[in-house]
This record gives sequence, C-alpha cells and structure tokens, in this order.
Amino acid sequence: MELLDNLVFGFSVSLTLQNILFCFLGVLVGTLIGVLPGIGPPATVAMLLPATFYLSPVPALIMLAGIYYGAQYGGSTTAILVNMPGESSSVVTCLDGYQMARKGRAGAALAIAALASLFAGTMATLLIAIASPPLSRLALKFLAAEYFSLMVLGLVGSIVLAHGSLLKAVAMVFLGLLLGLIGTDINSGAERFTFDVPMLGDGIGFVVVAMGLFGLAEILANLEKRDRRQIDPSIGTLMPTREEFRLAWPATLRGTTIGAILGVLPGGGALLASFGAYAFEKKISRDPSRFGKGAVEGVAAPESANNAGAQTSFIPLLTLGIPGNPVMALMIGAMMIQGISPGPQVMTQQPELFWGVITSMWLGNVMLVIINLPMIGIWVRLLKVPYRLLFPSILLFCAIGVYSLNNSGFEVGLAALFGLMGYVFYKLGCEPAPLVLGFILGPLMEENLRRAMLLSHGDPLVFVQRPISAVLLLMAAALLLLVVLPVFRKTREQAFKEAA
Amino acid sequence: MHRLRINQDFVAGLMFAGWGLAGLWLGQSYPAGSALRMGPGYMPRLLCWGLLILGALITIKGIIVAGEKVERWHWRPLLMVSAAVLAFAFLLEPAGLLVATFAIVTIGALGGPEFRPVEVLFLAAGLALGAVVLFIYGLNLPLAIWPPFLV
Repeated sequence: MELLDNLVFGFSVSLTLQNILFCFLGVLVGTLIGVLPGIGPPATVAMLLPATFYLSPVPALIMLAGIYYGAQYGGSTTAILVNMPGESSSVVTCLDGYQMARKGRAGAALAIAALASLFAGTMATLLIAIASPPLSRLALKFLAAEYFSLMVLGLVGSIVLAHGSLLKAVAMVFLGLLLGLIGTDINSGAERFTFDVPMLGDGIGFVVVAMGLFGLAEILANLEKRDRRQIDPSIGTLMPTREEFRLAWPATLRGTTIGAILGVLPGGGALLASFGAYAFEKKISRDPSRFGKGAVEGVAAPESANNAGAQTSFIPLLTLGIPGNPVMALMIGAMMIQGISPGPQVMTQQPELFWGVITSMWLGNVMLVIINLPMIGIWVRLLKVPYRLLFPSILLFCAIGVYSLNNSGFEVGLAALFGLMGYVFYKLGCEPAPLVLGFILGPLMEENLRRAMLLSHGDPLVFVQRPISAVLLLMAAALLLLVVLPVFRKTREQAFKEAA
Repeated sequence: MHRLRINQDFVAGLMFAGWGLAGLWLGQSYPAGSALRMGPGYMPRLLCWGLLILGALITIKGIIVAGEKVERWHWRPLLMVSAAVLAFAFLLEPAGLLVATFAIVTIGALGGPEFRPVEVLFLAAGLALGAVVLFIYGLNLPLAIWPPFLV
C-alpha cells in the first residue's frame, strides 16, 4: 500500500534521534512562548526562525512545525487557566474553558483539550498523507494561469474569513499586494518604490512585516488593555468524568472534521476553524444556554478544530507551494533559506523532507500531551510572570530575530515602522491577515499574470478557457457571491459576534 | 447640517485612498506597458486605482452608516516601543549587543503600565546575559558584545 509505505518511510526519517530531539525542542519552545499571553504563533515562529538556520533542512522544518503547533497548543492552556487567549485561535476556548476552571474543573478542561488535540492531530496527519500525493500530481499540471487563479481563490478566501468589514479586507489585500511589489521588478530590472534606498532593492522581507504587524502591534495593543489575568492555582484532577467524556468525544469528531476542512482553505487555518467549530456546536446543541458556562463541548470542539486546522494548512504549502496563512508564509521563507523551492516537486524530489515532516507532526502531537499534562505546573508558574516584565523581553527577541535574518539594523527599524502601521490598523478595525497574505502573494501573482498573458498572446480569456483555472475562479466567485448574499452575510457576522 | 461622523470606516477609507494616491504619484514614471507585455508600472497602477476606489467607497460608507468610533490612542506605549526598537536598530552595530539590549529593554519598559527602575535594570542585565550566551555563543551570530570602540 502506497500510504503505508510512505508513512513507514516518513517515520524512518522522523524517528532518528536527531529529528526526535529537534521535534521535541520545537514543541517545547513553542509551548513555552505560546503560553505567554500576547504573542501569537506567527510572531513566535518568526522570532525563532533564526534558531533553525544552522540546521539541515529536515530537522529545521521539523522543528519549525513543532514550534507552530506547540505555540498553538500553549495558547489554549493560557485561555483555560487565565481567561486570556495566548493567541487569537484560542479566543473561543476562553469562553467555556475558563468557566470550567472556575468550577474547579481546570484539570479536566486541560486534559480534554490535550486529548482532543491529539485525536485531531492524528486524523489531520493521516489526511495530509492521503491527500497530498494526488494533489501534487494535479499541481504538476499547473501553468501560470492556474497558479494565478489559485492565488485569486486564496486571496478571496482570506477576505471572506477576515473579521469585520469586507470592503476593508479587500482594501487590505490590495495594500498588501502593493507593498509586496516594492523592490526590483524581476522582468525589467526597474526599481519600484525603493526611494533609492539600496536595502529596499530586494523588497521588504516577510519576517519584517510579520514581526511588525503581529509581534510589535500585538504588544502595543496589549499595553493599552489592563492586565486582567486572574490565576486560579488549583488545577484539580486531570481526569475528566465519564459524563464529560461522553459529551466531549462526539464534539471532538465534529471539531476535527470542521477544522480539517477549513484548515485547507487559503486564509483559513486554525483561527477560523476554532470559531466555526464552536458556533457549530452551539447550533446543534440541545441546550445552547450551557455554552459560555463551562460546556465541555465548547472546549473539545474548538481545540480539536484549531489543531486539525493548523495541521491541514500544511497541505497547500506542501503540495502547491502556496502559503494559506502567515505562519505558512514563514515556512516558505524557511524552506527558501534552506535552498528548497516550495512546490509540488518537493514530494518527489525530496521525499525524506516531505514525509519526515508529516510524520513528525504526529510525533509532535504525542509529545505535546506528554509535555502539557504532567508538566502543567511549570506552565502555570510561567503564567504568573507579569506582563511588564514579559513585553520588554519579547521586544528584545523580536528585534534580534529580525536582525539575524540579514544582519541588518535597517530591517529592525523597518519592523518598527510596520509595528506602527499595525497599531493604526488595529485602531481602525482593519485585520492584518489579508494584507500579509497579499504581501506574500503579490510578486508571485504579478509574475504568473505576466507569464499567462504572454502565453496567451494577451488574451485574458485564458483564465476561463483552461478548465482547472476556470474551476478555481468559479470557486472564488462563488465564495464572494456567498458573502454578498444577505442570508450568508448575517450568519457570518453572527458567527464572529457569538464567538467573540 | 449633517455632522460628519469620525468613525473607523471614515478614517480607514481616507487612509486607503491616501496609499493609492501616494502609490500613483510615486509610480507615475514607471512604464505601464500593455496587457501582453506588462511593464513595471502595470500592476502598481492597477492596485493603486483599486485602493483609491475602495478607499472612497469605505469613506462613503463611514459617512452614511454610523460605525464604530475610533478609540482613544495611547501615545506612551506607541512612542516608547517604537523608540526602543529604533534604538536597538541604531545601536546594535556601533555599540554592541549589551548596550543595545539595555536600550531596548529600558526604553521599552517606559511604555509599560508601571516603571520600576531597579526591576527593569535587573531584567535588562539578565536578558543581556541570556542574549549573549544564546545568540553569540549558541547561535554564532556575528555580533559584538561590548562597544567595538572600547575594545
């Protein structure tokens, strides 16, 4: 069986002592930083990116993936114990998780979150292993027109999935695309928007943008809120009761399914997955009033969903070379630093990388449970560090992280500028995620648009005449139409409102 | 007379339109080319016009619909955090990692809710030590520890 062979091969890579070690290190450091409130997965991964430069590609990517889902998971611990989301995808976990903690069931909530995540992670890993080979084969047929249409679909996805005003999300995509074009135009060699600054010739680094818009802007936003952490030191027993168990497992199944699907969508990933799963649970529950008061399903569903979503968001990255969310964009950056060009050919040309990373995800999920349940006491102590000590430390690590990419002080200053921009966006209710996605895809889109137009001798109909491209555009149009339709628009607004 | 509402949409729309205008003005010399052979100005112009139109639409929406108001700005964290990062950027190469770390931690801490000088000093010292061990000895980043002009 092909699947089994692939997995066995993958484990033969990921189960070497060195790779186990780096997987563990990634998961551990990811959890450590994820537990700290006010620093989300994109900033965590960006901050730790330089730590992987000196590794060879396989352990580097295994470690980065570990950091990602470690950070994801650490956020849930914070959400349950102190009612403050460590990152945005665990916002909904706060609602019922913290209520369970207040009822003295913190241990059970943590255990359910851990087990639900493990189940979701296992299923998502399997799904990646099953879905990737046919998808890469399909992707090998892609020409410029298909890639362009795929990116359009991705951007439309990120618009639909953003909070708040659609118009603003579209504008953010445009702005991101524009910022992405800064630097030397590869076709003509002309410099665009560089103000004759030689450091801008290669464009603005993605880590700079991510660190500014996520890392620094998050700190600024946190500094104006009062630190409202209340720590309940009693965790209680870790064992869920039979009743809790009975309620949790179907919710986990549903959460995993929703998360796995939404994670593959561009612009999706963990955030939307957890919101969607929570809203769904509330909708189908016989007694929706229990939600927000410590319903077990309200922990199991979003936790399984965000973990499944985090994992399946690797599918577009690994098979198409297209990042669906900011963290995946950082992974692309890491791959390129390692000399790997992301795309469908990775699976055939570097199978040890591909299958090694995928199987390491399952390994990492098992480690997460081990790290988190018995060692919960350590994380609780970490939670007690006051924010006034935390944020200068985060600031320092962000700055060193940006500097070490190109040994450039200029880029650190640029990150400060993007931090300022991020604060303005925050004040104006503009979500940064669509901008970041546009920023990453900007140069790629221009390149593919140009190539497609050259191949078709300037005939724009090429995008609808090629069947795969047409289907992708049709999907994008359908998504947009859905959002504009009043019925769906209401549910979308409600879903975000209920969960928020 | 209808009072102009200063809400998030109104301001955001103006901002996006401003980006579009700035881009058009800065990029006026880039040749656009044709759809078949796109010049370096083709995409930027397309995007800037898009931003201009979207910005206008968002502003109009801000005028018609009463949206969320723009909340009060907190200048202190904004200024101090930005200054801290900039100080780090400018000091790192000429003055070495230790000085830059003290600068970013102390200036940054000034933007926090409360400033305790002794505590911050200890924090900066601890972080400086950690940064030197981790980044210079551990990861071999090519950075000076002490100010180069002193050594």
